[in-house]
Amino acid sequence: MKYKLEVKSELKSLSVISDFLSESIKKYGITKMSVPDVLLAVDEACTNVIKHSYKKEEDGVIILQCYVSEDKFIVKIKDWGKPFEITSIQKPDLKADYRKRKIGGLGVYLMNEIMDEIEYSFNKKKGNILTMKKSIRGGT
Amino acid sequence: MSIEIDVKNYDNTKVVSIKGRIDANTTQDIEEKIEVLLAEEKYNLVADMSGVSFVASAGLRVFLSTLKKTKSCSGNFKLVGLTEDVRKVFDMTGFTNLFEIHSSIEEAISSF
Repeated sequence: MKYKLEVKSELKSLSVISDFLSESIKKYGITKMSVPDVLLAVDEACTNVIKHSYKKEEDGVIILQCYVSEDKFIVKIKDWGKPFEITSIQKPDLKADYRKRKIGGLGVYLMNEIMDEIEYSFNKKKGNILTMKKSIRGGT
Repeated sequence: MSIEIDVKNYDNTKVVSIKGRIDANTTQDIEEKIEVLLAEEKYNLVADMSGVSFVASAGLRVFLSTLKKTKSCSGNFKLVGLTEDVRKVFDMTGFTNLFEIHSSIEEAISSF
């Protein structure tokens, strides 16, 4: 069973996305995966889509799909905005003094830390698709 | 989902109590409240996070920015009441080492 949600590319959609994911995870009966972590990773991904792919234009569309396959909880986030290459974002210096800590760059870092796998593809017709996977067996 | 922000005055310290979810949508409200305090030259700030269930990196950005601004004016921005989930995000990002995190508002106020 796959669950699907379509929302507008506005920041108000973030809480709707979070509720959708929480409900979907509950319906799957997943108990060992860290749900707060996954909600955070998806929130960061969707924030990037809204702010960077759609540049906060509110008439864009974001489609989320989630399902379980081979002991993994999979979330696919699709948009038709400007491709946002997450691999180009530098990892923040976590040990830097507060004066030297940069204000941005944490969202992508958190996504990579939390999720087990992240794949990104771009197709002009199909759109940008970010696929994130997390083991449902827990452990980290 | 909205966020609730309440500001209370304790001698020379302002306690900002936040309830709800801190994400890229709700941080603007927090930023606005803090900007007002900074404009009033209130640089001893405490954030009561006991009602915060979720913090995204947008929230961390506002916290770091506030820390930098208050410290540059010989003040500080301290935190109280981090939940387990929020604490985990702080640990993952190294933010636990950047902030003074207290176990009670009273303790945070008296530490200034």
